[in-house]
Amino acid sequence: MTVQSGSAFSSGTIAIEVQGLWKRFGDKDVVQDVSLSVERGQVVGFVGPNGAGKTTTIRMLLDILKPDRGSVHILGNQLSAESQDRIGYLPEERGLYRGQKVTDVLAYLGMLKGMTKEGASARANDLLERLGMGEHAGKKISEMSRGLGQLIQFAATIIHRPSIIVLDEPFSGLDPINVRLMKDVITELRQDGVALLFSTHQMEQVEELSDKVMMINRGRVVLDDRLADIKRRYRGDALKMVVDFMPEELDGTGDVHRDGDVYEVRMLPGATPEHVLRQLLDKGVAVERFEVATPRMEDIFLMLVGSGHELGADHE
Amino acid sequence: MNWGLTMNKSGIVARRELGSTLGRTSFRLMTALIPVLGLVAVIGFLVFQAVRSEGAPEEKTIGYVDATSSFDGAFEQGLVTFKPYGDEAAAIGALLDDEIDQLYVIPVNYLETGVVLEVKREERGLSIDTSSTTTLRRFLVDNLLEGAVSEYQIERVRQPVVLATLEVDESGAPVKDDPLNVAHLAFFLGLGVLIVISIMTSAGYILQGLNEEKENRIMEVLLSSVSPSQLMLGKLLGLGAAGLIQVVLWAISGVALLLLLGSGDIDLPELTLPPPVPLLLGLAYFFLGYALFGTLMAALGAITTSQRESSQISFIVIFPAVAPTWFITPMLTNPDSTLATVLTLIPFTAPVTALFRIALGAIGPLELALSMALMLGTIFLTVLLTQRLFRVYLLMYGRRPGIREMGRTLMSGR
Repeated sequence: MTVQSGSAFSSGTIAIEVQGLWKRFGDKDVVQDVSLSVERGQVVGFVGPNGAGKTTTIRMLLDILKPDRGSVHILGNQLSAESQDRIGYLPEERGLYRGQKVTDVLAYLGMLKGMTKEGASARANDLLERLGMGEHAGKKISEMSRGLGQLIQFAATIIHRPSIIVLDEPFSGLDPINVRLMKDVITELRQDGVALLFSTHQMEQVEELSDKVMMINRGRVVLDDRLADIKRRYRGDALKMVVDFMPEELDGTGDVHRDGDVYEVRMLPGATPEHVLRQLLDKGVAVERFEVATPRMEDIFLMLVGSGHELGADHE
Repeated sequence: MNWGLTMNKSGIVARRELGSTLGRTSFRLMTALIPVLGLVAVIGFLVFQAVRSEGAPEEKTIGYVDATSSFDGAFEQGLVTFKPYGDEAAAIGALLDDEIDQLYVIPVNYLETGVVLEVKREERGLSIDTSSTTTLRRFLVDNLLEGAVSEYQIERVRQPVVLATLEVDESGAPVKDDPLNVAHLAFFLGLGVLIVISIMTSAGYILQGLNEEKENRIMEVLLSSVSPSQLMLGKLLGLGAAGLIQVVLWAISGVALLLLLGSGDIDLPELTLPPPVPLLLGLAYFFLGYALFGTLMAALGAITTSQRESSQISFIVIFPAVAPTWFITPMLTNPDSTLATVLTLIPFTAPVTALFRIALGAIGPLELALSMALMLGTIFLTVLLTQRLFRVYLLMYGRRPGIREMGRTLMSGR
C-alpha cells in the first residue's frame, strides 16, 4: 500500500503561500513580516532557535491563531475552514485520548477532517498496517509506548489524505527504525505531490529531507532558499585534505587544523582551491583526499542565529 | 461562516463527547447512585411505616369507666368500639386480660377540668406512644352534644372550619386563573433543582473534558481541524445531552419512587403535567440556564490548567446559580417582591428564580420578556468572549493567565 494524497483545491503548483505575516503578543512582535511558500511535492525545512516564532507561524497558517496582519493562501484559496481540512498537522505538543482505542481515535480525527466514519475506520486500519501497527488497532492509547504513540499521531496527521502536511518535530521520541519508516512515508507523500513543511531542530534531518530551507530568528526570516543554493552560498573558505605530510609553507593559506588524518586548511582571500592543490603536488605531497569543505546546516544555523541558542525543545 | 460545516463538525464533537461521557464509569455510577439512594430511602420509610403499624389491630376495643354517668352512647366510632365498665378494678382486669386495648377513666369532675385518665400496662424499655386522642375526642363530643344540638352542629364542633379562598382583582371581580396545584408547584421547584444539578454535572463534565484534553495535549490537534467555536458548541451540545439524559433518568426514577411511595399509606397529590405555557416557559429557562452556565464553565476550562484547579474555582459559576435557592421562603411568601424581581432580571440568577415564580403564577409577560431578552443577550456575549478565551488559552499549558492579561485578550479578540 502507498500513502496517497487527496485531490487538491486548485491545479496550481503553490500549496502554501504566506505573505507578510505579523503577530504580536503583549508588547512583543513574535512574528514579523514572514512570507513563505511551499510547492506541491516539495519538502521545506522550517528551522530557527527556540522562541524564533516557528510554532506561532505554523499555528497562523493552520488558522489556530489569527494573524495581526498578512495573508495565508492554501491551494490557491484564502485560508478557511474548508482549506483546514486539506492540511494534516502533527504538533510538537501532542497527545491523544488515552482511554480510547487506537482505531476509534483515528476515526474520530478523520471525521473531523470531513471523512465518513466508515471511510475513516477503513483508512485507519490501512495506515496502521502500513506503519506496522496492525496488531495494536484494538488497543487503548494508554497501552502504547511513546514511540508507538508517535506513529499513531503521524497516522492521524495523514488519515484524511491531505494535500499539505505540517510536521513540528516529527522525529522526536522515535527509534531509528521508526525514524526510517516515517521518512519512507514522507518520501512517498512527496512523490505523490503532497507539500510538506516540517519544523525541527535536527539539522541532519533537514539536510536529508528538505528541498528548501527556511530559517527564522526573532520572528524574522533570515534564510529562505533551496538547500543546494544555500550550501553553495555558504560554502566556506576551508579545504579538507588527507595527505602524507603538510608543507610548512603554502601560498594563499592561513590556519591549519588537524583532526586525525584530516587537515583543515583555511584559504586566504583571493586564493583558489586549484592553486593550493597545485602547490601540494609541486612539493611532492601524496594527496589521498582533497575537497572544498561543504558547510553543514548546523554550521549555517549557528552562523546565522549565533551559538548562544540551545538546540532543544521549542517552547514558544 | 459556513454554518453547515460548523454544525457538522460540532455534531461530530458532540457525538464523541456524549459517547465517551456515557461510557465513563464515574458517570454511570453517579447516574445510578441517586436513584439507588432514593430507593433505599423509600424502602426504609415504607419499612418504618410497616413496623409502626405492625400489631395495631384494625379494630380496637377501648374500655372506659364513667364516673359522671354521662357517656352512654355513640359506642361505635369507626373501627373503634367503646365498652363501658362499672368499676376500675373490672376494667383493669379486662385490660390485663387483653379483652380491651386501651382503658380510660372519666372522673366525676371531668366537666370542670376536662381531665381523662388513661390506664396503661407497665412497659419496660423504650416505648413508642402510638395512641391518639382523636377517637376519644369524637366519642366525648358525640355523647356531650347528642340530643342537645343538631347533627350539623355536632359536625361543626368536630370540624369548625374548612377554609376556601377566593382571589379577586383590583375591580373586585374573581380571578379566573386556574391556580397551580401542589404537584405543579413541586414540578417547577424540582425543575429548579434540576437546573442546579445539571449545571453541577454537565458543566462539570465540560470542565473535566477540557482539562483532560489540555493535559493530554490533544487540543492543538483538535484545533487544527475544528474552530474554537465549533469545539465549544460541540462540547456544550454533547455534554449537555449527557447531563440531560442523567437528569431525565433521575426524574423518571423520582416518579417511579413516588409511585412506590404512593403504594404505601401515603397520600400523594395527583401527578399530572402542568399547563403547557408555564411548562414551556420552565423548559425554556432550563435550556437558557444550561447554555449560560455551560458556556461559563467552558470559559473556566479554557483558562485553567488542571482539573484540580478548575474544580477549585468553579464555585464562581455555581454560586450565582445556587443563590436563589437561599431565598425560597421569602419568594414563596412574597413572589412579587423587589428581591424576586431583581433576581429574575439578573441573568445569572434568573433561571432558578423565574422557575419558582412561574410555579406561583407571579411573573408578568413584560417581566418574562425582559428577563429572557437579558439572558439571551448575556449568553451571546458570554459565547463571544469564551470563544476569544478558547482561541488564546486552550493552547496555554501549565500557566493560568492573570486578570489583566485576560482583559486584554477579551478586548482585543485575538
